Amino acid sequence: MNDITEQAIVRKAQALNKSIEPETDLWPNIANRIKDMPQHEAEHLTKTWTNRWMPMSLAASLFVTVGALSFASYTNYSVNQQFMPVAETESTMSLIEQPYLIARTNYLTDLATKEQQMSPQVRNILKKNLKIIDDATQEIRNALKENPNDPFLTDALILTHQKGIQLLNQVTTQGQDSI
Amino acid sequence: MVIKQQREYVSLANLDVTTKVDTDRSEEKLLISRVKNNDAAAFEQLYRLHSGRVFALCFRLAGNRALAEEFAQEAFVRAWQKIHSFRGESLFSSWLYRLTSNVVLSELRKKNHKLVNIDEINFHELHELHELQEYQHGIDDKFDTGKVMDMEKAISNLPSGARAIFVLHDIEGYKHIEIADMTGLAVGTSKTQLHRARKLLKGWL
Repeated sequence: MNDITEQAIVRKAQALNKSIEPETDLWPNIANRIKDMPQHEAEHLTKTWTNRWMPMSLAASLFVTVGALSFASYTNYSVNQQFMPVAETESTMSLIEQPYLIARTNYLTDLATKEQQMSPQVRNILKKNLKIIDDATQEIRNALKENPNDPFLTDALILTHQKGIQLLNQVTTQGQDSI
Repeated sequence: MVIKQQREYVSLANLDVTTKVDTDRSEEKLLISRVKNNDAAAFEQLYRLHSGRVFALCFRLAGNRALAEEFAQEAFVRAWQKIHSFRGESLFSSWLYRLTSNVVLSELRKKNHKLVNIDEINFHELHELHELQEYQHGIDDKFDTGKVMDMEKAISNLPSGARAIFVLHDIEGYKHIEIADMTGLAVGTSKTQLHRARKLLKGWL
């Protein structure tokens, strides 16, 4: 066993070359792909903390829409999808969801104490957003059960969970000054 | 006298560096505004400037070259699509590397879901210790026991979740809160994974 310290590991990591050239030039493929590909318009959300919760509300609402769209996508394409046994679907979903559920439980435990310090307005917005995210998750989950091979649905479920964690992170850390 | 001359030399050298950085940034700004007007040639110049760094990030997060090439391409395609969301509030490089990290993490999840599940399941210390020992044995069997491993090789041998956190935190310099946002993990989990990665590396290097 050697005696290298954690600090030495960090120093070694920081000393690594930040740049590694790919073996082949990736540009021709990229150029080919972006040819005639439209660019998305910019989002114009302001980021002042007087409306820091607004983006979250919008994001959460967006996920309800994503859920609805996913469901619509399922109804359109389910005919062509292969059947997957329920147990397999459940296990795939639980693999995706497990980290989120663990994190969420941890956060909610912390949140119980923090909630007492929040203004009623912030508390209501938080609860409303969590509910929107939960509803969106449920909707996507239902659609996934019926249509487990749809990558769009899997993506939507992961993104929804990420948004949930982001919301909880924001409340337990950055959100302190709005409490 | 000599010291004064040296000081002047140093300050002139610094001025040169500052001027060069400013010029580089204004050139980059110009390139970005051209890209926003659908100029693929300008985008190619941005690609040439950043491909090495983007590829390195993809390579370390993915753990292999083939995937890294695929992800780096995807990152540049997304950058092209989303260039209008870059408003110049941060450095273009920061925006691009953040986007790259998000692309890689999302693509890894899509590919096998392993990033979020392998390393997330056993957080109880006993399980973790057991898992670490087992993983250590696996690595020892797989790669020349007794030899000191090269840092890059050691990083690529980390379990995917721990590797991602180590790369983002210790190499790329992201904070745990930022990593939590990117990965969808809790801050505590990010810290646990980093500790785990360093512990494994400590044993191998």
